[in-house]
Amino acid sequence: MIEITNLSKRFKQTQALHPLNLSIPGGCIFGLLGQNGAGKTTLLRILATLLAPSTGDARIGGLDVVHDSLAVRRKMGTVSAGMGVYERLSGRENLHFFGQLYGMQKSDVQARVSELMRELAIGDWIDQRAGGYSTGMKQKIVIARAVLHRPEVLLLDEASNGLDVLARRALMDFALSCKAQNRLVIYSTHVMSEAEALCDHAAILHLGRLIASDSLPGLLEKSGANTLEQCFINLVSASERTAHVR
Amino acid sequence: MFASLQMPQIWAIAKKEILATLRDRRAMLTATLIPLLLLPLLALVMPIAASFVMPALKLDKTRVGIEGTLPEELRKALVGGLISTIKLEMVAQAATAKEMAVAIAVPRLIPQAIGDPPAELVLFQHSSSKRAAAAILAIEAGVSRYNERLSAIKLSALGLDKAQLKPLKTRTEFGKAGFAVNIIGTLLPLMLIIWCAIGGQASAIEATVAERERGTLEALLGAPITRADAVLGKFISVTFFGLISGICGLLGIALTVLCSTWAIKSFLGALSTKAIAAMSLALGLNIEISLLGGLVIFSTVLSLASVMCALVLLPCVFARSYKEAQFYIAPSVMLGVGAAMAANFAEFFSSAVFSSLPMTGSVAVIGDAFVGKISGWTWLLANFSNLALTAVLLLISIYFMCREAVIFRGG
Repeated sequence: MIEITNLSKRFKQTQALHPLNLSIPGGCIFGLLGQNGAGKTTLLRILATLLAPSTGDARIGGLDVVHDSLAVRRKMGTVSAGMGVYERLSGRENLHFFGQLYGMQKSDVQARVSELMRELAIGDWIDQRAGGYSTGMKQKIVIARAVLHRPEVLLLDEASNGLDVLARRALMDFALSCKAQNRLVIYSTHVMSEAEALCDHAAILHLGRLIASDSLPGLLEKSGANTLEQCFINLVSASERTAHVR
Repeated sequence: MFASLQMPQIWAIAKKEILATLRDRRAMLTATLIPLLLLPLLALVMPIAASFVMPALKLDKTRVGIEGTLPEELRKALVGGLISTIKLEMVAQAATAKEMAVAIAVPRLIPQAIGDPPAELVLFQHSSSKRAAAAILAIEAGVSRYNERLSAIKLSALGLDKAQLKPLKTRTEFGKAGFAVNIIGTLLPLMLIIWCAIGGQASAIEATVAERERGTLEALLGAPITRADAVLGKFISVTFFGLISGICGLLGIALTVLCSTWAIKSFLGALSTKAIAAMSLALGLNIEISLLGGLVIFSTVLSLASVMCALVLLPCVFARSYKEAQFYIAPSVMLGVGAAMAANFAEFFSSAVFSSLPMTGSVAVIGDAFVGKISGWTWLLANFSNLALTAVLLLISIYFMCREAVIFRGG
């Protein structure tokens, strides 16, 4: 589904991503794991066509993220921790606005919003102004906005940050339901327990380098660990030792 | 780039921005009520305040120091209602004497009749206050009256009338529009520039900096729209509110005329006839504008609003916070005001040069339209230059919107 070849990103003096190659299959939940500053958000922003890679390319369903950016965006939905909603608009107006941006017919948007109201349990307050929503309510609208156009790929970039237990649970359930609908979910997080509960495959980024990518059992086996957290610590430590020797 | 513009998406963005700003009560108050009511309220309050304050006011005479002796005739000519004199030993004393901005050094011999040797009064101005400047003017006028009086005495002795000294005179008569055209022609575009900037400001900030701060910009730019679509949609909204403010400002000027007429009649009764006539002339109540003139003014106002709103939007696209945006907007507005002020010189130079200057040309065209001077060529040049500058400013905004360093500033 996603093919990344020799992709790197440099911001002036900072090499945010070193050249990396990665292949992500469709219809699964793919974990993108790493500490803060590991390069997860940069990689996701390149996939979301918001940043241009310095070298290499990325293809989503055969479409190049640089040259076919509008077509890529139609296949993609993004939820990230810092994303907000238009607070002077109601939740429904927020969704209708994005429906128009995605070129959806009004009747399609109405039908899809009704579906999402049931799926995300947002029906009770969707017509209130979003300025009065709690963090969890806003996040549900952000999620509804990201999947409104039925994207093939959903990018969740530390989307559970700041959410309470119930909202976090709802987000994880939603990721699982997307997988059940044969969509690819890329789940970026530094919370290993979430990744362990959700992901089929995962890649670990450390200081802008891809240090491992495999199925979850494969990663555990490679690192000789019992838990994903221990696996992460082992692989990161090994990477640092290698960098030190170099 | 423009081949890929998506009109439905541009309209969707514009409508969303308009709706969001319409729901911002404070922004709407600033964009509508202030331009509509500020001047009319001032026009109401000033005559009312004057009716209470003026009877209690007493004019303070300006004190002028004098070194030497003034002949009685000259003293009478100099000392009017606004000046009182103080005897000084030396003019230098005036510099240290409190509340004395002007001193006169009187020569030993003052001419007291035509034919006497000429002399010179030396005036020392020790401060740049308005009072000192007014005193200098009053003294010069007094000296002129004294000279005229000496001439009149001499002419009378020769059996001639003093009017014969000025065989040719001038008299100015105002046309139908009077000097009001100058005031309206210059003031109106200037006010429009300011109101358009104030009206567009809230929408510009809401559509750009606020979008970044609340975390919706990433979602917007992640949708299948181009950066040009985003900027143009926002520009339409900013111009919409800029125009609303401009129109409210125009209505405010009309209300001002009504309010001040009523307030002067009601509170300054004795002055009313003269004051109302002066105000009517000053505010151009007697101006008649043809349909073509109206269309010229309206179309020029539109292009003027568009360039002003693009000028306000650009720094907002670049700014990383509300504070930074407000910091950049002030000089942008000053640019517009400066360009409008430059139109004061338009009538002294080739009209093509001024008409081709963005904003400046519009002010000149609007001023001309008030006196019925309409030239298709200058109208075209003025509007084209405005639209060209708008396009350039929008292209720069789109360039900034495409810059990763700008989009993810601070994020």
